[in-house]
Amino acid sequence: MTDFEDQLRRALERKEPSADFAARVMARATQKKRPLAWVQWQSWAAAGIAASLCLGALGLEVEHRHTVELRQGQAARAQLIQAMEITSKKLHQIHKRVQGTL
Amino acid sequence: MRNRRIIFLLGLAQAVVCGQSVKLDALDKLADKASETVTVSLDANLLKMASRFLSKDDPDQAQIQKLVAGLRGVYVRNFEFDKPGQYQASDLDPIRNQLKDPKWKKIVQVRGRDHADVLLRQEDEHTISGLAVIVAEPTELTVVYIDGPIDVDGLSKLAGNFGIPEDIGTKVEKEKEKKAK
Repeated sequence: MTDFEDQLRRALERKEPSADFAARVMARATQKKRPLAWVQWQSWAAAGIAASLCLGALGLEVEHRHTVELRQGQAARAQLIQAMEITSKKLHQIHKRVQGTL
Repeated sequence: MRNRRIIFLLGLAQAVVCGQSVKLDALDKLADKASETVTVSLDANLLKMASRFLSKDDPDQAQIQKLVAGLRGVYVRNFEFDKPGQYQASDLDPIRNQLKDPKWKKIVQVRGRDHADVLLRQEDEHTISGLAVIVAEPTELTVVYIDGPIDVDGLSKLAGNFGIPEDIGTKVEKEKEKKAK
């Protein structure tokens, strides 16, 4: 047997694993993976963006309601002033007619 | 079903407490014949909203704000026609029928080329709870209904600013005195 063959035989010969090998493999397999730093950062960023979007949407809704209320209020005010003008004009007209007959 | 009954009874109770409101909707059909139409329908909520937008710095608007504070509604229908005969006197019947209630007192009646009526609704001797004005001219028809306790003094204060006759309050007082006698 040549020296090379001897080296090869020794390199390929079956070796038994250590006694705690199976336990170590199982322990490693069941161990929770620690989240990577960038994954944590991404979650926070996503939550931040979602919160900003919610706040933005809420702000837009509040602004929209305010605009609608403003428009309705101004329209109602214009109607009220117009109603008062018509009422006063007609009452004045009647008053003049009544005065004219006295 | 029970809820409906309760709502109906509440509505009925409110109608009794607040007095029957006058509906002007029957006139809306005239809008098709009119060359110009003004429709104002402001209920209590809209009046409150409108009132918030009135300027306190403007004396007229401040006065209106005071005047409408306790009102339940302001309703106006004004139609202008291109020529006479576009509406019939009977078009006003649905309105006049609603004003036949004994609580309504006619304080002014004008008959001639134009017809005009001013009526006040009195809940009791001291409370005026409504004003109705009907003015029928050949080419113009106006009906105003103000629902709610009208401050006659306030109405007098508005006089001059909007052309409301200053003695309209006095007329009401005279009417009250007549009744008292």
